[in-house]
Amino acid sequence: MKITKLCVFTALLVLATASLGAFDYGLELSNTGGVNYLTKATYYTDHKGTLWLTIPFDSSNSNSLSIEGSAYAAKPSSTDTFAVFADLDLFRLSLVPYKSAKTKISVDAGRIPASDVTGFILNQSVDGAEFHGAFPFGNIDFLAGYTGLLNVRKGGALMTPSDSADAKTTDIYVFGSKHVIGKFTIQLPQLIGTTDLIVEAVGQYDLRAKTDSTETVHTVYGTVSASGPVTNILYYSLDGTFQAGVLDSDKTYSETSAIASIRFDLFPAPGNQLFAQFIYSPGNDSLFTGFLPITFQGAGTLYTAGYANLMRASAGYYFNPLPMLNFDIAGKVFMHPKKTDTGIGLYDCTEVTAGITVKATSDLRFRFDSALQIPNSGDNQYQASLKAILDI
Amino acid sequence: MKKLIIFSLLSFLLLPVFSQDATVLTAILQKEKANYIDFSYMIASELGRDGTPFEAYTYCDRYGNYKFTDVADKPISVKTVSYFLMSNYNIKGGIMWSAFKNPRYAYKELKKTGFWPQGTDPDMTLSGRDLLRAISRFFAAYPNSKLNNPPTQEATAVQRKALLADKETVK
Repeated sequence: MKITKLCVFTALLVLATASLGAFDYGLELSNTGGVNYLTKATYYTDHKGTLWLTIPFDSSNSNSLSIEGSAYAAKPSSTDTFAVFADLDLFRLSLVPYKSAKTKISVDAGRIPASDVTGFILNQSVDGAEFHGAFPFGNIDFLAGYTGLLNVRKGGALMTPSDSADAKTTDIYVFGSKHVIGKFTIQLPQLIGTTDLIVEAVGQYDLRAKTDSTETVHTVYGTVSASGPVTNILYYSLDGTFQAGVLDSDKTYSETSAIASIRFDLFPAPGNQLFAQFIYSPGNDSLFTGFLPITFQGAGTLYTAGYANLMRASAGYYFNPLPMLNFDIAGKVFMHPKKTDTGIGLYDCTEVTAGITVKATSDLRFRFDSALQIPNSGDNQYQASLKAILDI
Repeated sequence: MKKLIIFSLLSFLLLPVFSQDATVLTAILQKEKANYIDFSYMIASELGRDGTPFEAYTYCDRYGNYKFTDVADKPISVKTVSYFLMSNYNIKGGIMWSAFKNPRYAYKELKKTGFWPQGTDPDMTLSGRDLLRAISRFFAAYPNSKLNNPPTQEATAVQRKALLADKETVK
């Protein structure tokens, strides 16, 4: 019933705002087919249709409404059945209430993409509002959001076993885990020489009703990030995050961890980019527990575990010889600072990925992806897929 | 004063592209919403055709890209400008443009190449200055593009007289 009311309200709002001016729309169709060998050779497919709409409220398009909705169907390699679901990916009302020569205040409200400065903690849509302030001294952002209206089928905030249990469903739209999220960011460009400094605080509060069989977790994260050029072709980025929190289960546990990353990007010639990165997150010991982000993300392609108790060294190369052609290759080495439950020692596995993107025409592009994982013990795993994207 | 300097600089930069009457182009530059006649006059000017703005309109109308229901002094939209440029200068496009050849896909083609700035809307109208900038940008991006011959015959003197008489009646 709530969804019906929401759809009616959305349709009325769109009709009302559409009458204010012109709008643009389109449809993107994405189809992927692939094979993989994890324990045995299987195939998988992934299909997505995204309908988008933008409605400008003024000629400069600084005040606008953007909507994106998708229908998904996929046959995962692990099963023989199709999984189908739908989602409202974006419903963003963008407004610029104040703008002068040196200052700009803007607001994005609705269902909006949210990300922290590192991309490790928060990287998903939320329902809420984000305020952006651009001032002569720097930029200030403030975000407040809620995850309980998102479709759990799309993943997102899965912080506890209770959250993951809710996600095991075949319904088309199921409300996600209830977390309230806040984020406050200060960016100070060129604070020391050419170094940009970002200080960010992110926090989430779990609104799940606590029972004997459920877990709730509340966490805060503090991040300091510095980035800038080393030379005119070499850039660096250094991030450090400290996590604190409490997990309410049968007892109350602390959730204390950290993650740090250093990355260099080299641009030796036009169309060429090389990078090297090292990520460190401590394992369980007397001081730290595992790193627990708001948005769960796998640390690799075939390596699907998260960033807790992980050291990952990676390097890669992007080559863009023609405007319609792009090659990329990367290698990642996964190691653990502390011994894991599965008994794997310091070295876990190496993963090599390679891909080609071909823009066949202005509205049709192809992407070929491949990945090979060489584990510490056991058989190699591999995966290859071809994706076609048509913009209608 | 600042506006006058910017306007003069723009005129020096952009006007050499067009060989026509500077007075007419100056009047177009000052318009908040450029219309079909203004666009046609810029196209005809770039071709080096002599004539009045309305003669330029009747010439460009022969390409069949202007809607039958649209009047000459109606503000021209971004998608109509895109449709005229894509259709008549032999610009290649993607699958959807090749299949449908309509104003919407013409606009999308030019937007994807970065020709239309971010935030441009297909039904947006352009100021005279923005229209002049867009056309200059087009000929800079596609220097070898050449306008096809109009697919329809020129209107006879009688038809033209009737058209002009009709326009006078509307006024």
